[in-house]
Amino acid sequence: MQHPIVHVAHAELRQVARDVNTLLLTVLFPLFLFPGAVWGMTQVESMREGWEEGLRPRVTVEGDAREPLPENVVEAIDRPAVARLTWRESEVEIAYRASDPESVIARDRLVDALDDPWPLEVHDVAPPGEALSVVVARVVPLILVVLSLFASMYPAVEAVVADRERGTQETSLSTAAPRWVFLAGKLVAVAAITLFAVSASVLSAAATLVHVAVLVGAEIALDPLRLLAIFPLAVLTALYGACVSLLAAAPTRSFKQAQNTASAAVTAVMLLALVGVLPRAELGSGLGWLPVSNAVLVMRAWLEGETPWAWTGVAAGELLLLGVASVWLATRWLRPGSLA
Amino acid sequence: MIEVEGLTRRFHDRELGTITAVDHVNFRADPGEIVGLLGPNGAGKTTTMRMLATLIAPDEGTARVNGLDVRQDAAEVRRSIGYLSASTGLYGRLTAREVLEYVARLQGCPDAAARADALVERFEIERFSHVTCDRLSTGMRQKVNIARALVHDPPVLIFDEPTAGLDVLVAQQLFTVLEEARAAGKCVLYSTHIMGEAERLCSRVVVIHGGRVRAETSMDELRSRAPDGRLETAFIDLVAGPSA
Repeated sequence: MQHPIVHVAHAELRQVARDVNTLLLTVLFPLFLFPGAVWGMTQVESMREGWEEGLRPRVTVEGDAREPLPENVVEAIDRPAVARLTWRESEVEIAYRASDPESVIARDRLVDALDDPWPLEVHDVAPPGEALSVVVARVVPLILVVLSLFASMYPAVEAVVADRERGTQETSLSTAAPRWVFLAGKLVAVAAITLFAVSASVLSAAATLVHVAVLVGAEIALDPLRLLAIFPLAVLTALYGACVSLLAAAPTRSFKQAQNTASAAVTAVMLLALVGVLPRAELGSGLGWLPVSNAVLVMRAWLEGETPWAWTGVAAGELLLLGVASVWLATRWLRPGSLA
Repeated sequence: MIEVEGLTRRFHDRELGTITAVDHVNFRADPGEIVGLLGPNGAGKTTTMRMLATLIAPDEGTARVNGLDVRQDAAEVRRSIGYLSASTGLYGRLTAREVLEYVARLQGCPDAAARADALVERFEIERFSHVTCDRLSTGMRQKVNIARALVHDPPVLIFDEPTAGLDVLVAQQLFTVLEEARAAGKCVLYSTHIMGEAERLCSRVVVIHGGRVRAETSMDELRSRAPDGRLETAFIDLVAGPSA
């Protein structure tokens, strides 16, 4: 006769095996995580290598050149250079900007080609703090998008699915207010929480950055007004995050299912945001149709000192349009079959 | 006050196929009466009531509540009814009074705060009106829920097994509320499994089984159908056998 533990375990396993979400998370996800991650990293790496191989950094040459430039570097004639090579009597000097990936590649190629037999002097001529500000300009938009999604996910799941599980949705829907009012109200609440979380996190990140910069004696060449300039787009991003989270939660039947769906949606949007911080990604470089990537690129451009008004409009329009579409769909899915 | 004609609702299930939960149901309930909707589990009572409360749409047929069509005037129907079921919950982190005021506002009451206060007094819940609902006992929570259904003083009450899990004292208070509503000329549709409740409250009953109406008659007439004159016997005779 089997021990009761066996019966309990058997029943529990049967329960688990019949739950699609648990199976996805505990079986399929672990099975495909590592192959998927390795495949993704390989793709990114080959893209990066392809980009680097195809790149011909422009270099200004000064002094009497005693050797031609290496093949993978071209002399800047009528376009601005990313590095400068100066031939002197007893040495060769390379000036580059550590804040510019293309300039760093130019430096590496020149060093490889000229290191022997010429003695090299290599200088970073970027203004103090520029390298750090470039990193900040990439990281801040990414943090904003990621935070807006994470901050909105749980309030959205709580507002939609927990409301349904507790029976409070039925209480609300049995009142005279039309159905869309409840979703709009939930959206306002989720967006408010998200905005608060995003604003608090940006402030905290800014204070921490300044503190760390002071501690290590580094400078950040970033105009604080630029942070204000991206705030409206950050607000729209937070609203968009709230809409996506509500959309992900609306069709689900349980808290757990909603968490899984919302996590998947958040991951997908995060990947879009990551595209916007890739080194080759540039504003208007074909990424304009990717809404979140475009928003990240626009915020990045503002932080780097540009004023991309037209692209800001495009990014804002995309976020608004997709946000409205998400809410419309969520309204359809919130309670199928009920009357308005 | 409630007129139901040919009301039908089907559900689609992956394993069971298409299920007709409510199949061309007809009945009526008038002002000043409590009509009992009786039937075994899965008979279609809750689906019928949810259609009347406009929480789900009928596939076929019509229903009018307080003279309003449930399809055409859904919002006005909801304003005309007080709906209570086992699955209408309360916001756990709002206080009893906050819930009443919130629902009164959604129902469009111009004096929501005053209505909430009046119901707090009427249901003698002053002592715990400022306690969040998740800290209330089942009985207290149901008291608040009943008050919630009445907060906008609707002419029609649709109560689906409202005494589930209640102790006898709270149940008695609910019966008093319903009897007062009847005396005030309101129309009450009341679903229950408990024959004693139906006998006490209802002047007429609609017996539903397998989604179809098996009887719509007065309580006295239904009782007289049984050899022993008991409602329970008459009910069992009606619902015995296959459901469809």
